[in-house]
Amino acid sequence: MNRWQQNQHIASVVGLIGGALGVVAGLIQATLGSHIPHWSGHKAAPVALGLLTILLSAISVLSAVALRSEVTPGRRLAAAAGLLVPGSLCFSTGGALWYLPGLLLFTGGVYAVIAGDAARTRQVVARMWWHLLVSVLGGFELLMAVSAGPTMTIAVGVLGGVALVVAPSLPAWRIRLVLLLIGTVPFAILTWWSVATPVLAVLALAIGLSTLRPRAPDEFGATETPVLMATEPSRGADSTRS
Amino acid sequence: MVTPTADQVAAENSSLPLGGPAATLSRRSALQLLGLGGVTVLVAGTGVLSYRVFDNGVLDSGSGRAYDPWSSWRQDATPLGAVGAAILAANPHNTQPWLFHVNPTSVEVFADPTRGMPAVDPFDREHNTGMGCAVENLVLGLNARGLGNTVTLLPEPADPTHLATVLLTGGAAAGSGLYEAIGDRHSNRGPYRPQAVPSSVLDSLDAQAAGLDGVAVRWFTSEADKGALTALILAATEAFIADLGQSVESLSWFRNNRDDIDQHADGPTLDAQGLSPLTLALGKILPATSRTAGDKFWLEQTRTVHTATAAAYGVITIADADSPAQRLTGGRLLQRIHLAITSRGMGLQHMNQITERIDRERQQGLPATFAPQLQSLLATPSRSPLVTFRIGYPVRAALRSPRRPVSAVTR
Repeated sequence: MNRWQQNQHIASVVGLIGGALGVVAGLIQATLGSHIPHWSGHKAAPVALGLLTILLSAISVLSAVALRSEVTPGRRLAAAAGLLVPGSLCFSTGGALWYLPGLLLFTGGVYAVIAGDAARTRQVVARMWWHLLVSVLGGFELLMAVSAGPTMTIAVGVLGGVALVVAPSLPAWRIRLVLLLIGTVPFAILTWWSVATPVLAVLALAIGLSTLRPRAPDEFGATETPVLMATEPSRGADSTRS
Repeated sequence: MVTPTADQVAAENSSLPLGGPAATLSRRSALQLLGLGGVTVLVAGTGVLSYRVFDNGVLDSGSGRAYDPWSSWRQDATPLGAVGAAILAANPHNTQPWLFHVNPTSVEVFADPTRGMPAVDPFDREHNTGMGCAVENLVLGLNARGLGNTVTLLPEPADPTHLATVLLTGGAAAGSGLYEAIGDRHSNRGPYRPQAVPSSVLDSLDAQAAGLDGVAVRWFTSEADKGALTALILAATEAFIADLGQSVESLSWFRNNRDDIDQHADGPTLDAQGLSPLTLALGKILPATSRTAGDKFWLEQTRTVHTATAAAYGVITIADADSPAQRLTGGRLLQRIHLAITSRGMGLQHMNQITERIDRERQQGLPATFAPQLQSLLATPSRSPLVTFRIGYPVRAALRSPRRPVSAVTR
């Protein structure tokens, strides 16, 4: 196993533990959050925040699982985002309960980022950056949605947020366009007076248009492994040398 | 004009945004990078906005544990349920200065001296009035549960904090319009429509004093009367702001963000200021203003909204403004009027700047400037002003204020 593969393995294991602990933290927040305010962060709506924590932790778990096998640079970085974004966001939903899962997910995310050639990673990041920004905006929408009311507004916001998160990763541009519209317009109209949701909608739509272009074949195509094998010495080789 | 070299053209056409180690940064790449960076900063800014929206409850005003008492006050059929109604009463600066002892035969009402405002309310005028409001809600709550309604004010002369006893004598459950309005009663600090209050409505509000000895309301409805009281309120507001002690103490109770509201469950909030949805959202998203900026905003609101749109003013009057018992009774009348107003779909806002300045001048040994002017406006030398409020038909519904739960105020 070479160093990059080793980093990816660490990212997967640490991310899996962090995600699993995150699910537990979300469960505790949703069920006992109001009884342990010092741990749960004195949240006004611990149930909704607990459920969001579970949802985002589940995304982390899936990302960590994806890192268990050979992946393209694009998928590896998407998985890294799947660890880093929930890991960061949930510091505001889980209070002190999130300290350990957050730290683990952040560590896993960093390992996932460095589990490949740096120059290639930079290229892929540059190509995927717009997609990533749309997904991040979806995460922001989710954050606002769980603090909203009444239930109808929460539902529209959560659906919209999820639509924005997943839209850039879908292959069909028509579906991406529909998800972009679903993800931005209804929630912004329902909460127009909040300033933030219309701003987010305009930004997500503007950036999202760039994700409608046809994908470059190598974004989710060839894996990094051949490159890795050719350029990175394995640990075995290192130990032979030593 | 400079002709680009072949190398420059090649660099210009390069499709490597960040390139490998050997790549040069073309103009296009630089522009791409710049655009990417700019948009990323915008997204990061949206993240900050989103967090403020999340953290301050912009999308769901008046929600969370601190507001639960407004929806749970009917559920308990025991005397504790009536206490749940009592804690929803009007009270000065939402300090909720009360404590309750629930015994098998009575509910005892105590003042919590730790929740006073020595600069704003140095002689406990508003404190006692608010306690009277709580007693009224308690009686309505006990009546509705068929638990009794015999009130004794100041039952223990040796203990000035023991303000009332309500005996649980039992009886038939007697709900009322006032009781039904308890959960909807909020101070409405927003604009009121330009619609006069009919005299029949004022008469019905006067009738709320039935059974309460020694208290009455003086209404200010004509433009001349309202104008004179408005001028005095504005002058008192300016004097309040200029008084560092009053300004600082008032601000110390203001809960500016969701964390403070959840932690303290008391004090005035942005939600309760009667602002338009857009202004309220901006107020919650932007950083808190300074004390002086907040004071200026309050003065401006008092000038352009509170006094400018008041359909009528009311002043509760009693014979002796220093008598705790009369203040308590005046508080009961104030609460009844507020509940009656609420049940009619009208709004009421407490506006006590004048009496706060009267008491402050007295506390500091200053020449009395506001007391004689208000007394003159009342035109009844035998009556003393207790508290002042405005009423009208509100443009928008008032939002709820946080409340400490029953468990936190019973012992």
